[in-house]
Amino acid sequence: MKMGRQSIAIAICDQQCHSKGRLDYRNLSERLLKSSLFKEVVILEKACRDRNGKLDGLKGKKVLFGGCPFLEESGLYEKTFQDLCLKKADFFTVDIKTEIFDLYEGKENIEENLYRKLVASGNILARREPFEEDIIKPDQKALVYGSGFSGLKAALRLAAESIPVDIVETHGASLSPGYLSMILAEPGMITGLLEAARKAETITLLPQKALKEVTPGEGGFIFRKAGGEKQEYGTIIFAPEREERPAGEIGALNLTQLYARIGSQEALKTGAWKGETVFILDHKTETGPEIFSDAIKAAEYLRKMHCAEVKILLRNARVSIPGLQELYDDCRQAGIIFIKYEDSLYIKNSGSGFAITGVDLQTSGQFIIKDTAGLIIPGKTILSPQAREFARSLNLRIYNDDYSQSDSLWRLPNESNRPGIFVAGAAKGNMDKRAVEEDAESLVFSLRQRLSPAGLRVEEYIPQVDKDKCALCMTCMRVCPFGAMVKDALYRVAKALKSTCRACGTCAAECPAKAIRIRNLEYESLISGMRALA
Amino acid sequence: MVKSLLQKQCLSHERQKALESKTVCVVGAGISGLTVANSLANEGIRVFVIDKNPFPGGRSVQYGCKATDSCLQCGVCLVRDAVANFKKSSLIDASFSSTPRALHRRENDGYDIEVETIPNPIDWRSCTECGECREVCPKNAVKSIPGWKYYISEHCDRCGKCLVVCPVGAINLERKRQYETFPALSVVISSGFKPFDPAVNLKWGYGANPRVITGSDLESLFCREKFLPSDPELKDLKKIAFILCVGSRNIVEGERHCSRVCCAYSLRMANRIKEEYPDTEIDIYYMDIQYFGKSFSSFWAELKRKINFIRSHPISISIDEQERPLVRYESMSDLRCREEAYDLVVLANGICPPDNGEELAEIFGLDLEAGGFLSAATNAASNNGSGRDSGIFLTGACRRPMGIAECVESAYGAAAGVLRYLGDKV
Repeated sequence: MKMGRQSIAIAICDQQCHSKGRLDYRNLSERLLKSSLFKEVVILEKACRDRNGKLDGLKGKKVLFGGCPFLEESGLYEKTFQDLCLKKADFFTVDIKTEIFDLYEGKENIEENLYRKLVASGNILARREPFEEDIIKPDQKALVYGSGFSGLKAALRLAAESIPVDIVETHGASLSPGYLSMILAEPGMITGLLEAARKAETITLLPQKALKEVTPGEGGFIFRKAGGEKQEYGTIIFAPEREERPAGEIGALNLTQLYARIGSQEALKTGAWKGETVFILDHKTETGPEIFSDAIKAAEYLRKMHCAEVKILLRNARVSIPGLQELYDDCRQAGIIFIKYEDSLYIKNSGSGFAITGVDLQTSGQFIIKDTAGLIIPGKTILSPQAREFARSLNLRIYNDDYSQSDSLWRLPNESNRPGIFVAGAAKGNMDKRAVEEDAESLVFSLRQRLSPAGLRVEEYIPQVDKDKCALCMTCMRVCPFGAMVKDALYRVAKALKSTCRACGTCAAECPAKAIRIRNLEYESLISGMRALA
Repeated sequence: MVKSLLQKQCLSHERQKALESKTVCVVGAGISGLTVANSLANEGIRVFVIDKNPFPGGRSVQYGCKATDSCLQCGVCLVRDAVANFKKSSLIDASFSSTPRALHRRENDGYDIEVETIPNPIDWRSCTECGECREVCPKNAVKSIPGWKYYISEHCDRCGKCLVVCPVGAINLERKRQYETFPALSVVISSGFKPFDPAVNLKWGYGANPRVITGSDLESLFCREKFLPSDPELKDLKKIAFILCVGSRNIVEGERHCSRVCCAYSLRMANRIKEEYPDTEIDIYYMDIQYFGKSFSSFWAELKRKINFIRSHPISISIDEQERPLVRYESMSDLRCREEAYDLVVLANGICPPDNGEELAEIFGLDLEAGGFLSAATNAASNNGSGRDSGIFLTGACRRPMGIAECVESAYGAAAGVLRYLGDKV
């Protein structure tokens, strides 16, 4: 690397407001100047209050600031950084107080450690190239897994940011009811999106068969095609479609099957669909408002296009997405009957049709529905086996209810538990059309924030657990936003998984025994960490 | 293709420079506005924030954390963080106690925003948070919110004691109305919502009976880490009722839409109170539970064990002999009217569209939805999209009822929209 190409100046505060003894800064600065890394050393008196114009000589050079965290809080660094017209890449701060003095308090080697720390940080600064402003390097593509509505939206949105995208087509593997209801409402929309993706210069569609294996590599992911070809990706966007669980009753249809029947008009006409149609929503499982909306759209369609007698049995009315209340009204006007039932229903299949008995919540009387030809029970949505397999191969964690994101708020909207992998669309949770569109926008922002050089993490900065202090109270496992803390193989001590940890520091802050330390100041690890950064 | 991308990359540093000279105006410094401002400032863009309150953070900064031994994802800490980042950032400037009055399109690019300001007596830029003024104020008019400086509320009677003690001379009791004009390339509207006021309907007895409070009142107690009202008159609050859907899902009394947040905050607050005072008895009157988060099912199952859920929407609240609120409701099991007395009734009031929605819509060329929320007029494809004139973006609870986490997501989307818009201009 081009070491010492530019002169590096160092500015350190000599106040040490906290520590007992004073350091001999003159000695230190002589040593630093001898190291041929630094061209200038400026020692500030009370850096947190007054600069005395000493820093004016540093204009246009790379500057390393060393001081206490109070300076960072007071915004002084940032002000200085603007006053001196520094670029972001030419500026580095070292938190001397917590990393040197607090760690080594009372020990002899404070000066030695400070020297090492400053030299190491100076090394980073010297090696640092100007930041690249684009999100991803042009040779590093993004891989979007899933070609449903959310996958296509995300891909098109990324392509608009001039990021080349490959899409793994998952069509046919699973079709979510939301997707099908969109086809019903706006037949041309999804094909239009696919068309746009095919036409776009920077988007390539790959069939799912081509996908053999994806492994994390250096600075990205390596994707092996079935033929053995390799392709590198900078980031992966996990946007699979969700598929619906089968209806719980024998002979009943779930929404996906119903939409398939609606799609092939014949099945509805040829007598297979006589008599009443009954929808049971929220049966046994808690289904969210999005599935409600899809089911009610199907009911409305049946009523209006086929003049079917439609009844909807509800346990809970879900109204919390916009437009759903209006949909209920439309249905009532079209002649669909809504019945709210109390907790349980009795369903019997008598060959010719279903008999359903339950208690009406409004009147507390029993109702009986006999001989219904069609019984439709929407199920919860889950990830398809292929998508699960893909997630497992990447160590991407799947949480409750098959969502690929934890409900922790300490993350950006589209982050997953793995660095470099983002989650978009219904994999985050069931979504309606509007939510998916918003999600594609926030995905771009998350990418920007996390993949910029400043967002890169340093591998060696993962938490270190003190074996003697750890009481295995599992606080860290509970609080970790990324699920990175686990017990070690012998169940004696907690440890962080290197692959998932983000060095966010939550565990260290929460640990009641103070057994976790994030920034290990061992010289070797610091240097190797910096190599990762530089 | 690669070549053109490379060229673009070489230009990008200049592009960054060009971006820095641009200003984006954010109307409303609630959680959405602050998130937009912070994320744009991270990208090196100057941001100017206007808010009608004398402090940033809007409504959500006045809420309190509801975590018991585990975090319940209420998101209040996100707001505190946003305020802290806002304080630190040097690229963000703000004008508090101000409202936008007019928007003029400039000939080349961008807008001029006319802003009316009635400045707070304490200048937030010079306040050092020493707290001297608070100690001398005889009216207790000096207030603060978590993580921010002091401001003077309307209880001030201009006695001038604070003027004398302020060490930095930040106080000026003459409140002169000012008109200023700021240039901006793009405008983000995040004007937020108004909580429903149950006092409009006498049947709730809100305002007349101190034992009937709203969810927002309870939130402000949580903010000060008290979990129940501490008035000496209201002793021994042993039996508490939460009434959900007050002002939501009811066209006659309030708004038609579901407010999305009241189930969640009521359940979390009930859980917190139960944790703090295990011998309280809590009833929740609900229509349907609309809170459907990711870890909902386990939370719900656990809560059902501690708290009594009654499926009914109460008819009215009267007063019994001991002046306790008497909730009258129709029992679903036998369809009879019943009455139940409580020590405290919490009305989970919903989210209403902002009062000045029409005004904002007129100024910024936006449309009003049927419910009164703002919506983008054109460009229906993008929800964070622009209004009739390009470069105006909408985000947060002024669009539809949203929780804090949703507001943050929506704000990131709007910030991405602004960046794209500015990127095209450079």
